[in-house]
Amino acid sequence: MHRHPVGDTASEPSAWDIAADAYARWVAGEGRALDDLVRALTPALWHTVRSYGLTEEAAQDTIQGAWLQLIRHRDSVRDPQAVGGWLITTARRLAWRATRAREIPVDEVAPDVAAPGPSPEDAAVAGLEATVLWRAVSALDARCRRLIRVIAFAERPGYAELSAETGMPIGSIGPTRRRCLDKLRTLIQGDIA
Amino acid sequence: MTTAPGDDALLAAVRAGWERWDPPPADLSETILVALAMEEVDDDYALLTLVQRSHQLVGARNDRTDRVLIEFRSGALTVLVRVTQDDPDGLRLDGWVTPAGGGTVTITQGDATRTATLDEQGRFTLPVATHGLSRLVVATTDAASEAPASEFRTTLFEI
Repeated sequence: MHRHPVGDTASEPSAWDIAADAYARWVAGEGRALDDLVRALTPALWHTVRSYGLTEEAAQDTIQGAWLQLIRHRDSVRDPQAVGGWLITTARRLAWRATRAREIPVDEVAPDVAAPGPSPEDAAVAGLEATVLWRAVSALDARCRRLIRVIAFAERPGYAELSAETGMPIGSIGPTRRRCLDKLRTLIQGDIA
Repeated sequence: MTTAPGDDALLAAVRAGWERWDPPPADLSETILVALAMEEVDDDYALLTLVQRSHQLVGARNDRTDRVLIEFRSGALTVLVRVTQDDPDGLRLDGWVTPAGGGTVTITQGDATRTATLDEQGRFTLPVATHGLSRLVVATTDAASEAPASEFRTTLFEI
């Protein structure tokens, strides 16, 4: 068992490292480590699932479903470092299935429909003015908006693993990701200019 | 800004943006932990997925009742639940399981459980339930053999 030191390194451990450590402790029999595991990964799971346009209730249900699958099939994750990716992929598959169960074409789902826009007092977000960023993200087509939100909260912005759940062929993920990021950048710069 | 932000900076900004625009519910981690604590690992069951949830106000102007409709699904099995507030301290769950084949529905809220039997149409009523995190367990019976066929469970949901 190894701990991730906090404070004596330049950067804090990522949620993925905290999760890997907690998962290793949980598998070794430390029941309370599950608390750390759930708290570390819940934000990323939330944003991933919400990008599919699920309501808050359906998103919570989907995230619970992913965790229940981990508990029931813990043998399927042997490498602690893989637990975050496994949960995200499982949640994405469930979210994708949930959007299909409602028989709503996924591109007609507006992922940001329930999200309030930035308030006037919102300061800059990572160097960008929040309202500029919000307008640019809102102006993206639904597919790009979902893809970029999923990638932004992914452990590694992987390509191939995204394919099945986003409904895009594997070969198009790289170019699609490129196109979506470029489009967002253009929208931001057009707004600033 | 004179230079275009790089991919990493752009994604960091998007991440920070969504963290602010659509944060996870404050109690989400706790709800998950309660659900996992209730989990019996060895049991074999199918998970019922929440498909739809809607609210409606019914009744006369001075006697409005907030009614919640929730639909769960697992493969071919559909469970519709209507939650009605009968009086200030009592909720009633009326539900419908299709396809109808007999069986039971159990609601769990914390340590309390209550079971109702499905009638021939697959309908059930659970008269007393309080607000809070709840889970339904549907045990369907094969109509021909009367043997328990399958168990279905919802995740935890708020009523």
